Amino acid sequence: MNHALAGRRRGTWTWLALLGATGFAWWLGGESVRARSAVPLLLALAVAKGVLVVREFMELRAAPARWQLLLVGWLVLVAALIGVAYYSGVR
Amino acid sequence: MAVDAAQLTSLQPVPATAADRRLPGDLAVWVFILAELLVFGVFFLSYAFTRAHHVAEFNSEQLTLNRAAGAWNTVLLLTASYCVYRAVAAARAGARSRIDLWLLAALACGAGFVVVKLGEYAAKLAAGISLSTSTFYMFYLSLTFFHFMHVLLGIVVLGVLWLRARAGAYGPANLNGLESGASYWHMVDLVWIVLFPLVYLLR
Repeated sequence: MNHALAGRRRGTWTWLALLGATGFAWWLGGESVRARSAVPLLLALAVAKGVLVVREFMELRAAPARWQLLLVGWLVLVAALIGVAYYSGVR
Repeated sequence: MAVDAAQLTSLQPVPATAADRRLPGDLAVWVFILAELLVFGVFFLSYAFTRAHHVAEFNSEQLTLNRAAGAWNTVLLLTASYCVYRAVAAARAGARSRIDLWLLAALACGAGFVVVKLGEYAAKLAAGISLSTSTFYMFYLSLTFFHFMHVLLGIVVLGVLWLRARAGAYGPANLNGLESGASYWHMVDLVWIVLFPLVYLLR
């Protein structure tokens, strides 16, 4: 099995998934979608995209586990606190 | 056998044992990346919690941003990251002639981001918007400009990698510099992945 080819394909699928998620997020952020209901979905999409970048492009899936944990932990924590801030702003 | 070893490491499969796992590039770059993420994280949360006190202002002024420009810039940064990933993969596979081509493609995407962002800034400037216009615009301008400076530094890093790749500096046995620069660029991309929905989309 050609590992280099499999690696390139994996990278290409990652890139396409990231572009798809970006298009979806852009649509969700448009004025036709009820903004408040889009908040958790947009945050989840940002985390999912970030995890793909961290694991695949940064190649941390092959690094000592604590590094992946640190970066994914940063993503989840920041997204969760942004969510808290958004709902604390709802009157 | 050396060729086989290079091919086996080219995919970086998840290693069987913990001892086989390795961090790409220099440890110092990763410490720097963590520090940068911490700073951006604090910046993002100050935006989010300040917004909680000015919901109506933030919501209406956010609608004056160019969402399409923000989305295109996301596409450009993600594509640049993909090109950098391919450059590292080419180096690992020993395909030296393709390393600099992928880096050049990444540089072009980075330059595209700069052009789009400067266009957005010019439009806001022409509309008389500045840091003192409102709390929202203070955050929009300072957050995106802080990130913009990181993109510029990332472009300088990619430019150096490109020059060194053209000189034949990278290959399966010499990846450290390329991987370090690549990791920095991916961090710039990662930060934008949170910044774009936060400032342009979340209402």
